[in-house]
Amino acid sequence: MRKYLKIIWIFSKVNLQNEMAYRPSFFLAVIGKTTRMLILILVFQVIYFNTPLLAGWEYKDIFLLAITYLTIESIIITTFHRNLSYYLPDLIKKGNFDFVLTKPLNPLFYSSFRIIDSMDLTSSFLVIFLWYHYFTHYAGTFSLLSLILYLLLLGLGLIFLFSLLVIIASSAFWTVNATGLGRFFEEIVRTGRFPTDVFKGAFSFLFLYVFPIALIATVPSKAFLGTIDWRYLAYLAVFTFIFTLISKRVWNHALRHYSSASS
Amino acid sequence: MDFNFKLGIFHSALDRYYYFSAFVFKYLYELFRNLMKKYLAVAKATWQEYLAYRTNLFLEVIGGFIAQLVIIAVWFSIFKDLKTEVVGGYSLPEMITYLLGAGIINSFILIASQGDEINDDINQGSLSGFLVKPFSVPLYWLSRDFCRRALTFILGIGEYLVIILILSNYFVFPFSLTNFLVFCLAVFLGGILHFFLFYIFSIIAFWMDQTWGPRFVIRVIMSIATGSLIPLSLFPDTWQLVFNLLPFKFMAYFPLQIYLGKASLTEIILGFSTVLVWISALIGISIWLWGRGLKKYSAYGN
Repeated sequence: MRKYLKIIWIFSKVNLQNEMAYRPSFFLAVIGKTTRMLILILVFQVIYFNTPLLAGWEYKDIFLLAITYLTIESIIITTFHRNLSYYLPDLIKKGNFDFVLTKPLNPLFYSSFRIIDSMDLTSSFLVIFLWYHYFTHYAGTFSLLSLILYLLLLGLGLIFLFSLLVIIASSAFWTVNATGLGRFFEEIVRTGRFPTDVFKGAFSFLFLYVFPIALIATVPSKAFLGTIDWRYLAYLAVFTFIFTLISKRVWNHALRHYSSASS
Repeated sequence: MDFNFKLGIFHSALDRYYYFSAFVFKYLYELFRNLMKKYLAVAKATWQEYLAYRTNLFLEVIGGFIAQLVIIAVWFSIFKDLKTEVVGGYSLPEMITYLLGAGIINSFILIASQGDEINDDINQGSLSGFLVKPFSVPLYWLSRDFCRRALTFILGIGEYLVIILILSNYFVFPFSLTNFLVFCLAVFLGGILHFFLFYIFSIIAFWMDQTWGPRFVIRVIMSIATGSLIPLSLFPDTWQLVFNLLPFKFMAYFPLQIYLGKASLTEIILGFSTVLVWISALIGISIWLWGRGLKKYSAYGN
């Protein structure tokens, strides 16, 4: 574990050096990324400018949902998102994946955390500021238990997204070009920006049980606010566990299928 | 007799006029065809190239489509909670139609091109290969860009048609046929405006190593300022003032106002004049930058 953390630290340092080589572009990217986060808040502000409630959520609760979403997004975008959906297919296409396999590291770990995005890491500071804003302006009283539950569910959401992306990335071993799937994944994650309560009927069932987008932001936020059903949480835990096992099998199967290219 | 004679003269004059216009038209057509031949060939080749990536493009399109469906669900929920007929001047069907239209415009016509190719061509030196060929490189890029737009449009329109059928109770047809045609023209001009905006921020690659940063900032601002998530009229006044000063509203908000018949004749005329001024200004800037950039271009990498 310590070895892997140290390697992640080295990856982020190297990448910061790489990206600082194009300084104007780096700062513009950080401005762009922080603006994008603020736009999500703006979207909610405009919605609440026209309505007092959205699917039963008040503005202060939606603010929590939005920063929960931004926290998850910042974490995955800094670490494994682009590694798995864009850089891994590229490695496979060019036959460079051989070098990953020959390294004394778990290939999945190496492919997922090879490039730690320092632009996204820098923009993540805004999320911390937004959390500060939430606690000073909107947060009511909450118990330690709900905070712990919130963090656990955040972790569960990350595991779900990681497993999903591993399955998507594994397809690159067959299709070679999987960047379209990467974009598709981004949009799927983005549906988590809104409370899943806005969906009705079949869609509600789909996003709660079959493909639990709710896990990205809605469920942790509700747990924090203390309005969550325990049975549903148990379901999500079991679901994520099975889903992770499946993704691991898919990845191993994909590795066996790999037969180098060009080199 | 006299009358018929006069009519005869009139007819022959009319005939001559017809012949003359047919001649002029044919001449212009040939001229246009000869001019365009090269770019049509480029478009054809590009079409083949992009078809190879159709699965990827299709997945991209589907992704945007899902995102727009979520927004539609959000608005359904708002109308249901508020129990009112109209929010911010929009009835529910108008809002749904607005968002569907914005989705079609956004995913297929606007998001399609982001200038990556132009940036790479300049920075990796493949521009040298184009410069020696007998065509205008900016027009070459433009034809490739519109080709991609056309392809993603075809890939995506199917899904939207299915959703329009499902939500047919909430779908509003264009205000009138004229409105629809003017809408199409506005979308087309929006596409041109979009191309030149990104084109300018791509050819600054002559001076910068990476132009991804500025283009990303524009894309982010565009995501809200085109009005494709929320109609701009629903924003607080200060924001509306800002959006009115930017060119982005002509890419989605303005055309959709025409479609829904929410824009008056004066607004339409004013809007078209403004968009033409924007396009001319951007073309002017791009020509100036291109000239200066070529002088600076040193074709490294090749």
